[in-house]
Amino acid sequence: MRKLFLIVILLFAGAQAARAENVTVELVSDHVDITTGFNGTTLGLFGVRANRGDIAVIVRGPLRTMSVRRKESVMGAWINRSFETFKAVPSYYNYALSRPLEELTTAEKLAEHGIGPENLRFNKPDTTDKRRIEFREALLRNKRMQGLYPAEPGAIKFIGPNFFRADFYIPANVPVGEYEIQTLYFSNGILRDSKTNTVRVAQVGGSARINDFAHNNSLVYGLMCVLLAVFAGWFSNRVRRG
Amino acid sequence: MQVYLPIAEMSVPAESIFLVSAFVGLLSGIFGIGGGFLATPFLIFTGVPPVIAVGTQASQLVASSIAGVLGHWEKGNVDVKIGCVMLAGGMVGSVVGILIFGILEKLGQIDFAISILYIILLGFIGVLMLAESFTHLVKPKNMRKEFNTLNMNSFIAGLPYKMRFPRSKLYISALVPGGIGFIGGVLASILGVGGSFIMVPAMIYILGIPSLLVAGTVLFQMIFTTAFATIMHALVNQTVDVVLAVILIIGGVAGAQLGITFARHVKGIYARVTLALIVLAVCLQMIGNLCIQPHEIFSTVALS
Repeated sequence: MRKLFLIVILLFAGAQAARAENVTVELVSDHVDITTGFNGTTLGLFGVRANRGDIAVIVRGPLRTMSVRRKESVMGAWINRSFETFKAVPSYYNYALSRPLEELTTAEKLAEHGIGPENLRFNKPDTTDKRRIEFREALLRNKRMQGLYPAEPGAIKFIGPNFFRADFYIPANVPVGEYEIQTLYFSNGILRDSKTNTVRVAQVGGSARINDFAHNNSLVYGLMCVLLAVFAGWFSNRVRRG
Repeated sequence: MQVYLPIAEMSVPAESIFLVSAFVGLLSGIFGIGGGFLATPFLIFTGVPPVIAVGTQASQLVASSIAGVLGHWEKGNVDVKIGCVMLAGGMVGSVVGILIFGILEKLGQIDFAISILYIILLGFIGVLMLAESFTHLVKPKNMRKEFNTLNMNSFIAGLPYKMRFPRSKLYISALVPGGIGFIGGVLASILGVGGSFIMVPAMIYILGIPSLLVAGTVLFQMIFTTAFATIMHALVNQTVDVVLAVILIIGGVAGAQLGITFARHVKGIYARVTLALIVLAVCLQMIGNLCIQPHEIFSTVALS
């Protein structure tokens, strides 16, 4: 009985080890530094797969609660009238696939892992509520227009038969915070392995110091802004007179 | 050139913001207005969040009003006493404005409120200025009569707390300049405007201040009202972006100096007609934005 138990444990551990080797991932950089000249950047990762399975890489920015507002015409003026709230919305989302979405796995799996913006689950599973669906589509559309969600998936580029890389564009208006990069390894539509890496997107240098100072010493910061303005006004007047 | 704004947490094209602030500065130099009613909508249009646009614009107005007031000050064209009464009202107005701003933002109606306020104010002021300018063009000799205190509305004449303002040769209730300053303060904190486009006409038509002193006195009190609004925004909302402010200030100050020089060669009446037309154009633009069905009727905002 005891032997049998050990064998089960070993088998399980062995299976685990084999699974863990299905895909290995290394990020080009584990941080994105936002400086004063920041104008967007590329987030890159390299990976190796053990077999010829399919790869899906998903990048998610920090989760936010979003309010979606719809304007309606009230006496000729377009005013925000209807509101819907969505929870756990990734502030940034991007993904890359080694094979088309429909061929990757089942619809249930796509929804479970949130592969593709249409398959993201927010606070509750998709209801058949027409209004809810309409607002959800509007949310995705707005995110796409802001460049924070992709129109279509990026491609996984294979450098060797099993050696691949994926790149994601991070626009200048990107929200700061911890970004989660999930690499999923499928074979025959079944998830075999997954790796999660995090990237820290943060302001650095002068930019970060200004932000910290403005939040921690608001009064002094406000007074300094005023002093700066006073000096600028006075200085320009002096210059004009020579 | 893209510049990253540390408080707004986004990057913006520095040249276009510089150019628009220089143009606004030019107007401010010529007319003695802050020009925030043009600068703030433009900032919002470039994608700067309204709160940041409003908060930061307040600090730019401090610089532009100081640069503008110095010339008037040296010529003695500032009524300090009226200015002080106005700025007392202005500070109360700033606090009230920031409270209203917060409530409207929570309700999701701040954009609508801003549009409606702009349309009402700009429409009213634009039409008034245009009508007044044309009256002057037709019969310029009637001008003096309008500023006569004897024509003053009996309601205003009946208000309590009367004060003497020797520089302007006025004897009027302190509530009048205080009230005008109050409205200026509310506008400064809700709309990110100096409010001179409503204060200047109000001072001429309601207060009856000599036209020579109008620009200097408005700019004088605006320094303090906008400085106070800047500090309030930095303290309460943390919406003053110093990098954005520097671009706005440099552009605004450069434009204002040009405007002051330019103003010497422009006839006042034509300048006023031009300003009235600009005000009406902005008003029509706002009406259009509000009433034409937007391309995207949905908008999103992060709650947390």
